[in-house]
Amino acid sequence: MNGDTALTAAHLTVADGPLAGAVLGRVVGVLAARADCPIDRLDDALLISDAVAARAGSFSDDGRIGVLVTARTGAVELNVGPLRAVLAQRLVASAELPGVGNVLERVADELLPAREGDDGEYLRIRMAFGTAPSAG
Amino acid sequence: MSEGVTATPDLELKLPARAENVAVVRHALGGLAEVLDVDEQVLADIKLAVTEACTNVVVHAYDGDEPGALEMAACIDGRMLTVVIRDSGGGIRPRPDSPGLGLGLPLIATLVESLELSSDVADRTEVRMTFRLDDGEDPV
Repeated sequence: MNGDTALTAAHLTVADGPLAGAVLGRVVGVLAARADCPIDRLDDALLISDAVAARAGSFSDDGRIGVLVTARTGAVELNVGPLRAVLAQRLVASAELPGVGNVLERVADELLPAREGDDGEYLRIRMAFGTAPSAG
Repeated sequence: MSEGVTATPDLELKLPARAENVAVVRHALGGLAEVLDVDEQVLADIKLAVTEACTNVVVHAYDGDEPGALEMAACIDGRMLTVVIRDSGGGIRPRPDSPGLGLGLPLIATLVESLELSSDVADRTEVRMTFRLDDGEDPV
């Protein structure tokens, strides 16, 4: 699933609000480029980062957004969290847009809520560049 | 100028101390500057100073091939911005075999409002830079 090599990773923690979208978008953009993200999928990566930046703050304990962005060979991965318990799935559900559907589900290749010890819940969002996501 | 010392940072970034990752820090600062509507020249100065501090970490902080961590924290206080560049290396020390010209810290000092070099409670080396986000002219 994610056995491909991690090229580099950046852990970002940012205050909820306008700063989150601007900074996360830049960091995801640079690391997606490093993962050889094709130009037509860069918009998709930024859609994901915008959706996370807009909503993740309300699902975290301290109103701050934590994201580990990992550039892999042919993929970029966002691990969002820690989130309050059982809220990773609600974060995904909150990305529903009228007439468009769920942005995260449409664009990401993998959405995986996971619990990591007592630390809280994380949402792993993975976007691979080998194949286009299925329309849906 | 030490308001940012204890405040929770508005932005924190932690990544491997490798040369290519200095660009990630610069981009993150670009995003922050966009939101704060920072003047282009002021942003150029901030990026230059932060780049020098990050480069010092990449070049000097860690021995061996495996890079340690490069950390950046930014606190906004009105129109003042404090940026802290942190590493867990051996600290700032004289280095006769340094590959650089030794101009990094003096250059930073010319670009910032205040500069502090210190260690934090976890014995990590910190370069703390405070910038004025307007260009020093009084608003009309």
